[in-house]
Amino acid sequence: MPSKSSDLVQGTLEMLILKTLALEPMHGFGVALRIEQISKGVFRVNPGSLFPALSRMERAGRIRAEWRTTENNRRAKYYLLTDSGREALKDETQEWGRQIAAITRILEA
Amino acid sequence: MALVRKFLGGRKALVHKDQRNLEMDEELRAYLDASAEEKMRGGMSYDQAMRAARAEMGSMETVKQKVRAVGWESLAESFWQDIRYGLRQLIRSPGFFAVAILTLALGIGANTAIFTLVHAVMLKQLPISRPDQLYRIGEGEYYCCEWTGLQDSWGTFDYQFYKHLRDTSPAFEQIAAFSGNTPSFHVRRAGSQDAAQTTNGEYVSGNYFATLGIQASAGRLLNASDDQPGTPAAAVMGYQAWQRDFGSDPSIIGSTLLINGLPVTVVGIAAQGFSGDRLTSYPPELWIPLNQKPAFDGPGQDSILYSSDDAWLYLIGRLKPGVTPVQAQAQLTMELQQWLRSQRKLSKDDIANLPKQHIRLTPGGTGVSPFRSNSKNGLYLLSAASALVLLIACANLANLLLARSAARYQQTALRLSLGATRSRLIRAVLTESVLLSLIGGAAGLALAYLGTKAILLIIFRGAEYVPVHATPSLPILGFALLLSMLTGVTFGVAPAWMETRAEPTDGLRGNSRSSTQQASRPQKMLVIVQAALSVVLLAVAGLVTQSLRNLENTAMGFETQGRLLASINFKAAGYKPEELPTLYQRVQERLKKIPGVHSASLSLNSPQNFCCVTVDISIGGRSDSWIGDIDTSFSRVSPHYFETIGVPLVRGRAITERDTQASQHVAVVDETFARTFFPGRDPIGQRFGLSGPGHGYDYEIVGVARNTRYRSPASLPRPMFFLPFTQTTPFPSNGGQRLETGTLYAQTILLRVSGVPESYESLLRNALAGIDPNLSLESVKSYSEQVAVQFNQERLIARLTGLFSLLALVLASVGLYGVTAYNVARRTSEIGIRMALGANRGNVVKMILLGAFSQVGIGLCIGIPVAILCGRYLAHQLYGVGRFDPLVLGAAAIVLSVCTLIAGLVPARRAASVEPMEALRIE
Repeated sequence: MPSKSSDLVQGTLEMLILKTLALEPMHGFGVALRIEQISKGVFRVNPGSLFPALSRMERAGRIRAEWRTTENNRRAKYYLLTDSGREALKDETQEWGRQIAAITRILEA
Repeated sequence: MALVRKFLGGRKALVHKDQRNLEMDEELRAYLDASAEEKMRGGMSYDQAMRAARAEMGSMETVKQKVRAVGWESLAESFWQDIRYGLRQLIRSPGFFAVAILTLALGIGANTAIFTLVHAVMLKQLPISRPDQLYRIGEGEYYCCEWTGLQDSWGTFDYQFYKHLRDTSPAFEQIAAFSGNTPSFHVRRAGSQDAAQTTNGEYVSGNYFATLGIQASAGRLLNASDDQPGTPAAAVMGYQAWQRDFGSDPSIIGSTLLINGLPVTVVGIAAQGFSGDRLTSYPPELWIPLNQKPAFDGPGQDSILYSSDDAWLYLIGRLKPGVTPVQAQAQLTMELQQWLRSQRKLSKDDIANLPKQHIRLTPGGTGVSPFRSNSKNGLYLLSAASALVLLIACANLANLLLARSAARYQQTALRLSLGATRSRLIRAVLTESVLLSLIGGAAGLALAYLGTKAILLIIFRGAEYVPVHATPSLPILGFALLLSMLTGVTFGVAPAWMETRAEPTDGLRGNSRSSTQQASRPQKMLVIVQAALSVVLLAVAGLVTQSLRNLENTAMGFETQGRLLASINFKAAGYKPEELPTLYQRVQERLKKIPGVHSASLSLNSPQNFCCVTVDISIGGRSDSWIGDIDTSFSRVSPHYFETIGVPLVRGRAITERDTQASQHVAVVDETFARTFFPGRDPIGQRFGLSGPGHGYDYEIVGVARNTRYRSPASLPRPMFFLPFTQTTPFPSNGGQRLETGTLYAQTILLRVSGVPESYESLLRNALAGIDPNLSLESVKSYSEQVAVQFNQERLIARLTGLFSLLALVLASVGLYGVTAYNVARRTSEIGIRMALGANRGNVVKMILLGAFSQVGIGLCIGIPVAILCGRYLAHQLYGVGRFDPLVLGAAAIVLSVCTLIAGLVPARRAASVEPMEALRIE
């Protein structure tokens, strides 16, 4: 699977995870796969960053975890967005929008 | 909120560590499976997919570690791991552990003990409010009693000058006065027939307690209205005396006590922690207003209270805010000079000296203390010695840690290459060092407490009340601990820092001989320093011990064996001067009847026991300038005094019962007196008297007694003379008359007995009580004990410096042994090669010993000149010790060399027993 992947922009991983989980509850691999698919392979999240981020967010109360059965009848830890996570996603998306707009203005100036 | 959640999450993670671990495993495995399935969907075989998934994830442990590192608990956990690891490491090398802890405990303990003492004696403030505002007016701590004439730098003052200052000085809010002397009083309840209690008391001004800021623990304290002429007598009692002598009986307050037979109302009890304004084992516990002194002096006596020539009061005052001590000092000095000019009859010499008269302010918050003045130099010496011990201890610790880190070199390299982070390795060493210091500190604290207690026991041998507490001073302990921690951290972490910077492969390659040389150089330097310091300490201890031996072996000129010494206060028992001669005769006759008593005597003073009254004399036919400014001591003695104390008369006769007021007034002088004042003449029949016009012929010399050490052997002997109690001379001046009457009260009873002197104590007490129940003794001890007590301080200093030098020696030897043994271990293969090439065991032993001795040799070269310098500095404080004592220095060097030999021989023999083949196989 030869494809060129980029490093994530610093500090955006949590936002991307939140966005992914906002669509539906998912397990760790699901999150990683979804990010890779939607970004068309530009971003690949490895477990070494994914799981610490999930753990951090769980502690912060933005997501919570539940053991569920997968479609393949396996046990897996699913992550769900909490209310505060939804709030955080809104804030971070707005903030990201502001920053992108600003950067774009600078680049086009 | 978020913080609380974080904490709770962390706590849960800590508590359910295992469960979390399992969950994480399961989650990661599920991830792996899902990842592999995804890849199989892309067309890989199961094995291929699994391998790819694993490769993508990397080490599962690393991921778990990263997840764990998210919370605070991982830090706490790793800290806890470090502690456990550190403890395990320490326990695994018990030799290192024991030596390090012992080193630290001794260093920290010795220092905490000594500096606790220094703090308590030199720096501790009295338990009074705002002690920093208090200033003593004047300096010098003469303790006792009356000073006539100019003092140059003034320390005691007369009552008139005090009143003048109190009422006019603009620099002070308040000035209080208290007597330099703390006489003993007999105290009993009015109407009670119990034996009187003996308590030391102090005359104080009415504002004494207000100035110091002391509160009453019951009743009230003295105030200005109590200290007026003609007011009813009031007194304040100390808390301890109230508790000890009266069982804290509240009815004492407001009741009347008979103090020396006079009715006095106890108005209150002083605060519990307050035991007077001075550091002494006989603190005053009864405070009586100054204006009551005439009543206690007895009717018809010219009380010192009215005198303006004799200084007897200490002054202490609270400086007004905004006034500096320098300003106040200048004002006081001016006041003093004006006062002297207007109030005193000054001689021509005095007027010339007037500009020299001055007052210095000294911080008053620590009170006055003759003990402090006396022990200052000794305490400084001990502080220096203990600080040296701490230095040596730190050097030893540094040495141990250096050796340890060198031994750990390969291990460290291995851990680095296995992926341990540098910070983690350094942190582990740091934890171990801190652990070591803390355990050492705890052991040191225990040692300090015991040490201080033991020292206090020696200093205050025979004292009922110990004015210093043994509780270790926490700032000092903190300081010592900090120093040892700093040593531990520096010498533990610095090598670890350097090692972890090196390429791990260097360490793994093993036997890097170049690094051996590098690591042992600082160790050798430390051993050199230790050797130098210990030779200095050994030499100093030798000098101090020599001085004590000289003191103890001085011929005192009198007999101590079979002598019992008791002190008594006839004045407090209510006797008037004119009753004394008959009383003394009765006492002497009664005491002589006790079976086993060979002779008994009374005297004002006795040798090595609060000596003496110092006076100026005049000699008929000689001018004052011929006599010069020679301090002369005098004492009054009863018949049989000289035979009781065991001093032979070299010429003439002793004082006898036939010397009465009516007969010719006589004196016995000592050899120094005869030689000083009657050189080349027969002193018998010569006449002299106390100074003053017309007194030059008062006493005729009838005998010459052998010189006797009344004062410390270290002080210059003074001419001394003895007068009978039965003969008094009238003097026109108040001071002269007071001296004449005051010295009629004998303070000392001496018995010459067969058998154990102490066993006569109750016989003596009963005999006196048989004459008058009021005659109670203040202290009774054998004369040998009395003399031994005189050298308490010298003995303590000698023992402690001896102990410290021993400690230094042991520590230095351990350090030397450590370095030598370590070098032998590292050079095992080298030694093997040497022996394989033909070196014999003798050569090896010589090589190792030479190494050890070269370090000690350099240490000696540094230490001996320093020791000589110290000796020069110390010589004037010591007795009979020269500025340069080759014997002591030589002994110190030999002791150190013997220790070197022992410390070097053990590893050298081990080196010599190396089997060449085995040694070579180690490579």
